[in-house]
Amino acid sequence: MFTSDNGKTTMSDMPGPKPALTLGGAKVGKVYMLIGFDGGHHLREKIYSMGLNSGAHFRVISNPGFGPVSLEVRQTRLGIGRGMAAEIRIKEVEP
Amino acid sequence: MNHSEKPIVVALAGNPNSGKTTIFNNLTGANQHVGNYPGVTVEKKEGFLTFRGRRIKVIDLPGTYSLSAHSLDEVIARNVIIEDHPDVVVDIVDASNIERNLYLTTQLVEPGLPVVIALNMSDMARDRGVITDEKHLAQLLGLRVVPTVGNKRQGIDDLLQAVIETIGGNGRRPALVNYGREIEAELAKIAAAFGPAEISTNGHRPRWMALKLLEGDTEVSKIIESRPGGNRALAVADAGRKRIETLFGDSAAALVSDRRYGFISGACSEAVTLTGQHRHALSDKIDLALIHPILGLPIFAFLMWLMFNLTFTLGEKPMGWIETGIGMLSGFLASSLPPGLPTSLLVDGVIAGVGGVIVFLPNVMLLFLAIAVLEDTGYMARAAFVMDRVMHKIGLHGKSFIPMLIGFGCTVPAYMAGRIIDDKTDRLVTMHVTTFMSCGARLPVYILVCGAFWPAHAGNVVFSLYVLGVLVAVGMVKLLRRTRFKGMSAPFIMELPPYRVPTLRSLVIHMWERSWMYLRKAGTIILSISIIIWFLMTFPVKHEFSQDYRSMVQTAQTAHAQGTISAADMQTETARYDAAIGAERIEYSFAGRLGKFIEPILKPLGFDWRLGIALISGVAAKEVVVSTMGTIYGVAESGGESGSLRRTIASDPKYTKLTAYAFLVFVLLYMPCVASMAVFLRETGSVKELLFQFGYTLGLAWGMALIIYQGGRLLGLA
Repeated sequence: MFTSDNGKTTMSDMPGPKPALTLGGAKVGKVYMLIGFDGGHHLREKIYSMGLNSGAHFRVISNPGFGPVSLEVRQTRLGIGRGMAAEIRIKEVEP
Repeated sequence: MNHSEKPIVVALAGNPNSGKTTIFNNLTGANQHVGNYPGVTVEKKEGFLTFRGRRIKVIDLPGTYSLSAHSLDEVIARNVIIEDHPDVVVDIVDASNIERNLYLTTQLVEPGLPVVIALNMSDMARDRGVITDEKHLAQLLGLRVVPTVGNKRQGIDDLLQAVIETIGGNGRRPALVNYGREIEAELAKIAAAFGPAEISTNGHRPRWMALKLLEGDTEVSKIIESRPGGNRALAVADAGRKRIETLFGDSAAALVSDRRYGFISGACSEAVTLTGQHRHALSDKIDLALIHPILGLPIFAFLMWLMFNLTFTLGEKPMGWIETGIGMLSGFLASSLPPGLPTSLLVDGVIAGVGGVIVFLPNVMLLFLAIAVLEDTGYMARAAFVMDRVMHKIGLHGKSFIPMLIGFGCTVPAYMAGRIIDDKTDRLVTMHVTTFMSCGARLPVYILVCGAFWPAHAGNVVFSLYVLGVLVAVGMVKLLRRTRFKGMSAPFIMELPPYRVPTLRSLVIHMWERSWMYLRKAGTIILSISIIIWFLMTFPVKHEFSQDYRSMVQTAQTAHAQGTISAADMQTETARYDAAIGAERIEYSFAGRLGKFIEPILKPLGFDWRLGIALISGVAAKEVVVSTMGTIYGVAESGGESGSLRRTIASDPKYTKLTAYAFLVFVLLYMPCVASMAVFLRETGSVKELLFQFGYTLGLAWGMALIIYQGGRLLGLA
């Protein structure tokens, strides 16, 4: 599990190796925190404005390994397509 | 009250699913009208009301999460706010999801217009353990905060009172997000570069404009660029953006969003108490089944099947009544008005054409009602979620299935349903293939031809056409995605709002406003086209016929008078001659000549000029193909019984099963009817796209019919 947090959230394409964990690999029922987004800047504003900003904690509702992922953030549920889920970097939050 | 007084203009802003529409309906009641924002497909809803002697105009903005102007909805919401200068912006905030909703609020106050917050569904939020101290929140934000419960009509008067007080302006200053020393310094520099009045006018805070430039907002950059000295301000902003990026290793826009959420969580930690997390317990349980990775799809399929069945079975009766009513009206007019061209224009042109649209009204209304139920309950988002897996593989968006599904009913509302797809390319691709879903109007043609050539297997042949349409649609999406509309479909991200029981009132309003648009749009266009088609099929009028039918009719009448033939025989004879006159007339008309003119193009498909005319007339509405064939073959259609027409075409030696199937495929694929094309043009606002659709569907229909006919002949199917 990727846990090395550098303490600061960065949103731009960072040089160096990518962290291993993305939303696509998140486990159902666990709580995660968004730490980075590798997609374009319009999409980032979109997920931010929908409550999924950097540092936001969320719980994964369903992630069957194919099709979109559903999660709960700030008391709302969001559905996020597979392609986009692969661009959302996350880390697990200790319960 | 003085009506000439300028009304107070209130813009309603808020997140999708914040209950904004319910508040709008409560404010304006039936006194609202829906239009489109000029040139775009987003619905524009406005309404009026009178409160304590003041006339108030309410504009319902599209629901958005942000004012960043990255989607059409956001651009429109923002343009109303910054260009139309409403007197007050009412921001509907869902109390149970307050943090995310306030993200929009932080952006609404920045341009400088007065903002009032309607803290909506506060009762539900309390039940879920989210308790907001409104007074404290109002203090922290520097805004009036009014608790409302939209679906119980609570707090509406208080909200209006707050609007009036806000206009009076008694000294509240909205709190603005502090973006930190570095960013604030850049904002000050950019604002200073605006210089005197030219740029900072328009009533907006220079700081807001500066912020937009720093975020790299293209729309505001364009506005600034066009103003004197604008380029200098843009250069300052560019330099500032680069400085911030080097300093923080992140884009200014990302930092700005982070600071907004920082500000919000600060305010919420003081004014909002969370007492345990009872979320939407019931809603979550329903979701266990409805978005289940395996169960989700069959449940979706069942609900769609139900929707279709209800739409078409419940619609059947009223459709019959309308048909009968129109038949009686045209029968009455035909018999009571003097025969001649004006009567023919009224009966065969106007009533037949407009009637053809009104007949579908029950279906359209039921379909829109079903869609309103799906939307208002919250299921629509789940359906898109469940379907995204399948649609994404094809190259479409999860939401694309909705217009395609509606396409099986009627292409007109299907094109209109394309609005739900945010991404322009996804929407266009979806609309370009929606036409291949066999609409209800194509069914009469299928029934006629299949009944004539495959009396025992008509059902299977009809079904094969439906399947073929879907396959062609899938194939065309793949092709379009590789050619004209390169790239992937837009990433899927959607809120799955809590399930709600919809109110009857909002269902009826939704259904009615869309049905009315259907009637108005289709009605005006189809009226003019019907008249054109009538003209083509009537002129030039033929007076000399190959046989003297009139005297033949007289002979039959005399014979009946003398008692040599029965009354029934006399009527049959008369009808036969009338039909023969009709057939000769249509052959002589412009439409007939056009049919003959295009015959060489249709010959390789096995079609003759008569099928050509039928196809041309089908552009008015696809089911017209049937009635035109009735006219061409000189078969008097009476009481909708098409048995005689069926026998006539089945016994025509020119037509084989192969011709018949090629013809059916052509009817399936060729350009959508005029009403649909008119709606397509309105929805896309692009003549180029309309011509593309027109051309490629026609080419595809021709090519497919050619392959079937010539291929079949090579295989010796004949």
